[in-house]
Amino acid sequence: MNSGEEPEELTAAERGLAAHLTLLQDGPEAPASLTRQIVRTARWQQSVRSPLLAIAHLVSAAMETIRLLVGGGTR
Amino acid sequence: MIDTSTETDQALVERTLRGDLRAFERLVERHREVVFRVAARIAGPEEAADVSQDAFLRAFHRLSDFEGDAPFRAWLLQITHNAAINAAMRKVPDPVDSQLELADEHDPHDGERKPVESLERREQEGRMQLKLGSLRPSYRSLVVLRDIEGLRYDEIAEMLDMPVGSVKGRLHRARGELIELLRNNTYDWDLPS
Repeated sequence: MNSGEEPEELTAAERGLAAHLTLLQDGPEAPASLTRQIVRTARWQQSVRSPLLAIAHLVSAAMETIRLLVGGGTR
Repeated sequence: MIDTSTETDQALVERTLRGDLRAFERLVERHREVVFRVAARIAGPEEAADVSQDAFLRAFHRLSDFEGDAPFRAWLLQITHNAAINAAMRKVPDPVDSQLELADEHDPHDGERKPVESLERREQEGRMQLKLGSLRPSYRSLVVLRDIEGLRYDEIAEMLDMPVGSVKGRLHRARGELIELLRNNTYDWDLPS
């Protein structure tokens, strides 16, 4: 929050705008299921992340080997 | 059993990094309302759940990048801001009716106000959100972060990676544009010149 700062000097129109913007300070509220969805997805992603990273490293290493072999053969 | 209600964000981050998803769950619980509000105000209410989920999951996978010298909330809001801006850039503005329907679904004060007052407020809020949505996303986010969420200028500058002076200058222009947009809608907004 902006406490601890010098109060801002606002024009009359800006003060009016600030009053109107208070309409948007209340909500909307997050759906109750949001936390559950996020944690479930995080758990799922965490479980597949390591195997996927390992596969990606293997593929990358294989591609690099092929590139070196093909590159070496055409020299 | 650890009492997560009093643990600092930093402690919860450290436990999450050690694989404790209950600590991450507590972080989500603690910050989901502000993340959802910022997402809704920048990207639109109908995108808010997706943007919030995207932001929390990005944060989850990048937790090791969180250095702990700035508040976790500011770091998370930076990720939320970026995700919301991306969503806002992809999106075509909705007609006012759909935004009003969404305001109907989420108004937490339904039971507390008289029906007419509540309806008027929802409609006014919907129109205000629509006007805010008419601003370009970079201006909209400044108004949301400063004038709706009340963040300090130095926090916003850190989040957006720009000098405080630039934040103030852009916010001044953003407010000016929003005031002009509201003046074009004279039946609601009586703003002095």
